[in-house]
Amino acid sequence: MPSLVILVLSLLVLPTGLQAQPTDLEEQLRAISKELRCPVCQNLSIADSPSEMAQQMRALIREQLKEGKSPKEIKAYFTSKYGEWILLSPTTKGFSLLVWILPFIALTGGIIFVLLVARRWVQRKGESRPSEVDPALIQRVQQDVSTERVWEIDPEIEGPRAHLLNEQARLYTELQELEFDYQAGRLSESDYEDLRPRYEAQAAKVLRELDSSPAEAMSKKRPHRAERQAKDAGPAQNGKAQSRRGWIFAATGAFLLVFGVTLGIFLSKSLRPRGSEQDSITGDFLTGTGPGGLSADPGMRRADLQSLLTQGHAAFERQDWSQAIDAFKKVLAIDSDRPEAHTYMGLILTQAGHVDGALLAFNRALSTNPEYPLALWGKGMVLYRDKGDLSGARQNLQKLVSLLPSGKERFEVQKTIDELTNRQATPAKSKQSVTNPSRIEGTISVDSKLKAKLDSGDALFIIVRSANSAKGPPLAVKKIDRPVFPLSYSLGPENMMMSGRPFGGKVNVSVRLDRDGNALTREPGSLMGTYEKNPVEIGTQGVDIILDQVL
Amino acid sequence: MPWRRILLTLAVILPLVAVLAFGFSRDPRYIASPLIGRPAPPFTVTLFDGKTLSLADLRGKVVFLNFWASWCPPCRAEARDLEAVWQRYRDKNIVFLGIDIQDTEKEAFAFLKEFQITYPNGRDASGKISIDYGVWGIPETFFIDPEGRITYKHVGGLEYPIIVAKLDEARRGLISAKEGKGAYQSIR
Amino acid sequence: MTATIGYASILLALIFALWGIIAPILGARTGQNGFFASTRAAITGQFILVTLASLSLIYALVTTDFSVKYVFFNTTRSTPIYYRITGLWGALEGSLLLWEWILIIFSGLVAWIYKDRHRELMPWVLMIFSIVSAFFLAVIAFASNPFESVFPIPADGRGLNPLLEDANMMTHPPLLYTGFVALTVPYAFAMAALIIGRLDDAWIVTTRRWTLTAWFFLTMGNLVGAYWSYHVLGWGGYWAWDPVENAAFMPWLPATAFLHSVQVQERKQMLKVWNLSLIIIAFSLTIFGTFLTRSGILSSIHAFSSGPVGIIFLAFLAFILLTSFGLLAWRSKQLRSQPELDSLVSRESAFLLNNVVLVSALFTIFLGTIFPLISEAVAGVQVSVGAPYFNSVTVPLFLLLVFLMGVGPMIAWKKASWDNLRRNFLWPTVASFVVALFLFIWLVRDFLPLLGFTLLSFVVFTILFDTTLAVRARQRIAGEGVFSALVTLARRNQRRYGGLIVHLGVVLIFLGIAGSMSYSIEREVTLQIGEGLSIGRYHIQFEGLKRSQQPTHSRVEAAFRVFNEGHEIGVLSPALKFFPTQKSPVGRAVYRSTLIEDLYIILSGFSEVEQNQATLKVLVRPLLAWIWIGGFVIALGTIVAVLPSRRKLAQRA
Repeated sequence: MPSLVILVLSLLVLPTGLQAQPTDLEEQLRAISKELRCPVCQNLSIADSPSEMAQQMRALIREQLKEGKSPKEIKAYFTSKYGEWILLSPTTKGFSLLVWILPFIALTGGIIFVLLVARRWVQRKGESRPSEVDPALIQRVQQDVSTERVWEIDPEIEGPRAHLLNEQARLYTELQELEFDYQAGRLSESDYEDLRPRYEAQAAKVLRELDSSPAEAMSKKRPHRAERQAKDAGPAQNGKAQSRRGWIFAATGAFLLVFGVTLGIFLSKSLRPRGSEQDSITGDFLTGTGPGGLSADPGMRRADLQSLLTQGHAAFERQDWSQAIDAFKKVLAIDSDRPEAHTYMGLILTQAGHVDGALLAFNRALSTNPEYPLALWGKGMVLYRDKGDLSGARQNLQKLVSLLPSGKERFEVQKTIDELTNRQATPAKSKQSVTNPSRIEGTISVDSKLKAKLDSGDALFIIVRSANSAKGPPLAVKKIDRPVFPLSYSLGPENMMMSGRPFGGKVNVSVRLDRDGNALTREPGSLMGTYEKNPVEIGTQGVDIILDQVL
Repeated sequence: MPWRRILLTLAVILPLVAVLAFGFSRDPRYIASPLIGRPAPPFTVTLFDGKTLSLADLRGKVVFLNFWASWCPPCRAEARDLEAVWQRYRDKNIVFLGIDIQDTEKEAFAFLKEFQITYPNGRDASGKISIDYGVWGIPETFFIDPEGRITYKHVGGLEYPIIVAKLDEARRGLISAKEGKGAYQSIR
Repeated sequence: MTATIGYASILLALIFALWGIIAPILGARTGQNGFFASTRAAITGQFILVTLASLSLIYALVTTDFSVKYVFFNTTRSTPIYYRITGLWGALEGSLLLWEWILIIFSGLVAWIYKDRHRELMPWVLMIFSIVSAFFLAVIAFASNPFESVFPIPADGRGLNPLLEDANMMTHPPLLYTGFVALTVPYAFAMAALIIGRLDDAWIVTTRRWTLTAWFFLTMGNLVGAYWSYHVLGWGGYWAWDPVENAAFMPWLPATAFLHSVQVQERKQMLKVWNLSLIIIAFSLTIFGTFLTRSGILSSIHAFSSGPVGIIFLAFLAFILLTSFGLLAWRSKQLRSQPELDSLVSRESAFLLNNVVLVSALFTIFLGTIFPLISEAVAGVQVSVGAPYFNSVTVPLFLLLVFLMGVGPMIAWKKASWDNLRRNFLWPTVASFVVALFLFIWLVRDFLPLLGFTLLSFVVFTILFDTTLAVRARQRIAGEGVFSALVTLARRNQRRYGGLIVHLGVVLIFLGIAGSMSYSIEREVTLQIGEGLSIGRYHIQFEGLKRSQQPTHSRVEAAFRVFNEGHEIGVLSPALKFFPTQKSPVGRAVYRSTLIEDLYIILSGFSEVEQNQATLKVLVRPLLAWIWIGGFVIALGTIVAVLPSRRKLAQRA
């Protein structure tokens, strides 16, 4: 035994001397970084975080370590800048001391408490005395127990004998286990001889109660069961108790309701929405809200180019213009001549109605690559549709046709050229004549009295509704961000809400200048206007609308 | 009725619920700054026009120190107001200084050009200045009084009236009790 | 159309739920049995309707019906079908519907299995189910409705967060939710017993299997979550002590404590109030977990975007705590027993200590999780309580637990004399000291890991020794051979031997944790093509970058050739994935796992300009694979413990 103690003690003493101190700079850096929290991520240390801020912090720590500062000083430095928040493990000073000592108190307190209470229970055990029992019953008990039968407590037995039968099962199981433990050597002989008679006596008592008639058994019931019997027998007696209980329930229920409602009211007042709409639903994992990036090194950015282009395409497909613009702008920041990016910017600007900006973009693209098909197409369409420069449009489109292999696309472009040529040949008679059968074009202006109400953040919606159905979704909607008035617009099949239907027939055209850019909501303060000559046939030009109403 | 037990139960549950409810009243990602009322940490920055500027040079003046980046929408939203205040209140004793963080030169230039910013701006390439000031969200603005103490910190976009008010307080050396908060963006 | 069907079903189900709450109360007041019988109909109605609602949401997801806002936010046209289905629990609204669905499935099962039994108890059990169900249905219907429509109908959706596009997404949330929801069953029985005043062991015996099942799903859910974190998130770790991870782990602790202390109640008719409290706490913690995830009061990777839902959950949590403990306090006098112990040294005491340790662990983790709130509320100081704190503070608790795992099975019930203890524990103790010496000389020099490994081997030895003794006892009593003795032992004592296998599984998990926490090596470096890095016994050489375009993202892979002490073992290629919807790339780390250690490589960055450079982080984590192996062993043990024995089935028939 003493040798064992010495061995244990030596084990306790030795290891502290054998633990190596991290001498390597990187090791120290990692050790410190593991203890500091990254301010932009969700619960990550700056060792684990890939964010730019974390990298900068690590670089700073490395510098400070090289200058010879100790880990303690470095941590103090960060604490002085960000507060105690930045330490992933709370300090032991002040209020935070609680978080260290409370668990310790809970554990040791719990153990001591349990030991004391258990000791009391053991002492109580010593006080009860075994009473006299009939040896015949004991023999029956021993016989029952020595079989291989498993005695199970059945929770569903009802009736006066239920409790007794379960007691019997419980005691028999105890006895069987006693026997087993003894045979297995876990129980010493003396303990076995001590415990077995006690349990056999208890079991014998239960058997005696079971043997006696049910009437007798009833009188020996446990108190609360008697209570229940009395309850069934005399509801009138307990009626008062029951109704009082009912009042208590009702009062508690009312209190809880009022409590809950008050809580809700007060808290909803102080609730603040978290994050911005750039959060993904489940929270951006690595760097929390906002755009992340690999590193600020422009060299690295080249790798982003492809992904940014993909992002931009996807956003464009989804009609998420702002994201698309974002992505293409980034592409242009890296490679300012990328024709693809310029072309897409042009397409987006066309969608937004900024015709001149679109033309500039297409020209830019074409200056880098004069044969870039998409730019040719974009420029051609803009010239045709929005500028009315038919010969210029034809020039571009014909160049495009010469580049395209034969197929559907080429056919479509050729069709447009033919249409164009026809138009050139027959000059427009009047502004109202049908020039393009599936478009509506015109100008939108703002009533001079309402000019003051314009806001740079507004978005303009041009809404085309079928003349037959005033309810339901509109036929086509075009959104123009940050409109500049007067604005000329052109609406066509590409603005339809649902594809597959022909863009034609009589329609009602109206416009709305929306405060928040959300088509679904109509804010008071939004400007509206309706075409005076509604309904109008699709294909009409000169559908001019004035924004002259305020919602 | 075992009143003692019921009271005990309430005594444990109600404070717990109260603490959890308290959680609704604040933003779990907001880091309160320990720097308010303290001397502003010194730094030296190279401006975009090539000159260098250190905080020590600006002693005796009220300094409006604004951390921003070109990819941050709230920075864009406040840029015009900042420039407007600068134009109106620029005299010998107020200096506006912008520090661009986590950005590229090109984009920063484009930002400055877009909003026609005329007050001095510099770039913090290594991030040391932003860490020195405990920056965690942009835009972040520090108001520094002529003695070099930080009187007010605002996380998020600023507006004209607040800027003017806080500049005035800074001039008088009044330290604000609370930080200010607006729409902000977490840095990368 | 689908949306209307779904929403209407939810509303109708809510009406059924409300009826399920009122009916037993009316039955108790008027004494008419019809009310009680109708509770089953209420549950059945809810089951059909909620299933209909869930299926309609799944249908909308699978057919990418973008008129439903939830579908728009969680799928795109190019999302594969299996990820469309997982979209059901990918965001807040859908996850609530999943919870409700699993809840009503369990309620239906309970109602069906106990169709003709427990006549007195069942209506109240079903009432409790209806209360919880009504709450969730009300939240779904009025606060976070997955069937909201969006107009104009967009052409394509926003898509699932790419981090969630992983096979584990299909298993982890359903497993975990099942574990949480399954705890409602013993809770409902306990509350019903308290309400009608049937305060004997009936509810415990009935719900034993349900509690074990809930425990099983909780364990598996947490382990799969850890595996996912390790496998997908790419930071080389499996448990970050994130507040929501803690919230998912916390119900496991009182559930484990309950599984042990319940055995004391069965034998000694004591600890009744304690066991009821454990179940109430376990259930309340599941509600707390959903509250934490959806309220936004603590910052967490797992958090859903917050809304008004948080306050509603807090109110419900308060309601549950107050009514449950109130009910318990009211009945406490009738539950008071005269506890007697035969000896301080007995398995009963070991189980009591086990409970103390587990509840202390619960207290510690809970305190640590909400301490930032407490600190700010009371002292006005902002603090963080992160992984370093939890790692240091839970170590002594888990060491104690392992020690008890070794001691518990060997001690006899009722009374264990010192003489016997010495005889029984001598061999395992000596054997573990031998192991300790061996470890000390060859491998492990640090105190805590050494202590940990020693205790773990102690547990293994006690289990082996105990089984040997039991087999020998069997042979003495019934004269069986070794193998048949083992089988009989397992059959007769399913719970015990299932429990021992589970303990073995836990030992293996602790082995993995101890190894990987104490002896991981980490290195971060930037390599040019052809350059290499030595770490541990491995040498890693950078071979080059490769770009590719996948259907949903573009990808850059870095190939690394790995050598283990000279001979080549293959090429590992961690990658960075660029998704169009995400602003930062998502990392895809790779690792090579053996029984001895895991080699984990993370690609942090790369540069094509500077002659193809890669920045990587490499970790070598010893013994980590044993965590997953331990999980399988636990599953096996639980199955052994939970299966109904043939004998019992015969008795029932």
